[in-house]
Amino acid sequence: MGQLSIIDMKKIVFLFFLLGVLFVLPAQAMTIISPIVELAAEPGQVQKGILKVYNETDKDLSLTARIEPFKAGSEDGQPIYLLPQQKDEYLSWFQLSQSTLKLSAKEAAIIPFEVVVPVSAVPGGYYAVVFWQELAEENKEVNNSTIQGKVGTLVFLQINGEFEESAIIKDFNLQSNKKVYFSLPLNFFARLENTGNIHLYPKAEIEIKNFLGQTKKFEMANSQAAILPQSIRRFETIYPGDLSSADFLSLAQVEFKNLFFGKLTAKVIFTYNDQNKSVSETISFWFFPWRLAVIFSGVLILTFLLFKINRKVNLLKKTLNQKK
Amino acid sequence: MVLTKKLISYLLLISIFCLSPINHIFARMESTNFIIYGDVFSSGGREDSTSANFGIQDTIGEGLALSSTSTSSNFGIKTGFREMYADSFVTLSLGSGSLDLGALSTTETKLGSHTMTVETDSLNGFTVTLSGNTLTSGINTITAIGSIAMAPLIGTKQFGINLVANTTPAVGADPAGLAPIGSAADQYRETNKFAFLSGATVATSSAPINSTIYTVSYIANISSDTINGSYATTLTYGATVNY
Repeated sequence: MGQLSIIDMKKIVFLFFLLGVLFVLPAQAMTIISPIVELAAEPGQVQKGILKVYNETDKDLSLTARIEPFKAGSEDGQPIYLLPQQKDEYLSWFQLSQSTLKLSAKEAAIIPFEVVVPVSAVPGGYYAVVFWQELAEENKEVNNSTIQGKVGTLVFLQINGEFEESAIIKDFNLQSNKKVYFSLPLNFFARLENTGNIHLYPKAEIEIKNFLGQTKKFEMANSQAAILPQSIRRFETIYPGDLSSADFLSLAQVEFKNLFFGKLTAKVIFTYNDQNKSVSETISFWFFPWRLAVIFSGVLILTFLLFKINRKVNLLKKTLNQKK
Repeated sequence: MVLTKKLISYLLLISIFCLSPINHIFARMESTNFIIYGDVFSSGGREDSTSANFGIQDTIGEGLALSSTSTSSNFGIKTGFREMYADSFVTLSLGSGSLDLGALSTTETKLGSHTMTVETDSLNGFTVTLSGNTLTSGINTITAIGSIAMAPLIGTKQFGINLVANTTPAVGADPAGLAPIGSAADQYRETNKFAFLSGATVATSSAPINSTIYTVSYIANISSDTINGSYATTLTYGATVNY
């Protein structure tokens, strides 16, 4: 009974711990709806936009807004937020209708803002993040550090005019960078650099051609990933898809359907600017599907054996007939 | 009398809606049986717009400029009838607004942790960055570990964090949730190693994720020549979607 009680006690403590972890009330919980806002304006124009913030918590939140510049932080679309500097004077173009906000529990707010673009604004892309952060209470406890959260809306501002849209392919290859491949899938990657001054949403297609001129085309990028000016974005694709759970025959079937054999060329074509501009690059490599080779060799050997057996049988029949 | 009350109520409602500088709505209405993603708060439109050839019950767009914008050299579409698609979102929630590492010691590593929950349906995922200074007490500081994760070393000035489960010291937990979930970033996912660099990405995903519970663990050590005091800092975790 005593032992059972200890086990029960342990279970109760564990359950309480679990409940504590699962249902602990968050100190701050904010949601940004429409987390990317895209605007376009002419120099001298006032463009309007909206931000949406939602208080996830069961308590009131007092929020304050802060506008910061951001730039590409990696090749997979992660932003890096920067401290505003003198060169970021475009941040002063942003005028929020309210820079502080009180949200009741489970309440959302739409915050209108204006971008007052000066006549002298240089055409191109301007990038800002509008963060909403709860005003933290001052910690009076000794050794206590303050932990704060902020959530932001990325704003892509395009100033119309003669901006520069250009890109170059920095890399295009297969991940393993070999000259010869013996099985599918093929893991391609490409790195596209935006050399202009406005963000791009490129589409990309890869075309594989064998020595017979037969081709296969598939999508690599679908214009849902932006490339900020003067930054590189990496795109990856697996052709014809993840085959890790496929068995021998299924893989052989896939290889047969794709008719890849011998020297292949793969061409990536990036299009952007509403498909008016494109850049491409071609690589070549050898492909010998070993599964097909095994099956083909097996069929050849079997055919040869059947032919031999048939010949023997016919010879035997002929001998028997002669004896009769 | 009743008519007057009604009139006052209507005027009050109209003044709240028209004069308020921000429009308050509930972002998402839901019950056990349905979810309305795009609850609308429109401020204009007519029931009887007509011409010689057509009649239409119209409304202006939900806002002056919506997030989803189609543009070309000749046109730009920002407002529409209503947002009839599930709007994208990113949520950040911190389990605590404070952290108490206690009095730092030369004989043991001081530990602390809190949860951080992130969720997004954004196609390219999210990024959470850390900003803030290392622990300080007046002019005295505890050295931040920096961008490369290191194991805690008792008797050495150190302050760092990570977002995974550790055994030595026993603190933290791996990111948890119903797959797909986010992951800890590069140097912040090394078991038993900790890093601290202001501006660094600490959690990320490259695709939509379900609610992911991170446990942010903190370690602090001091050396024998460290001046005793109350060491504290202010740290900010910032979340946005990836583009």
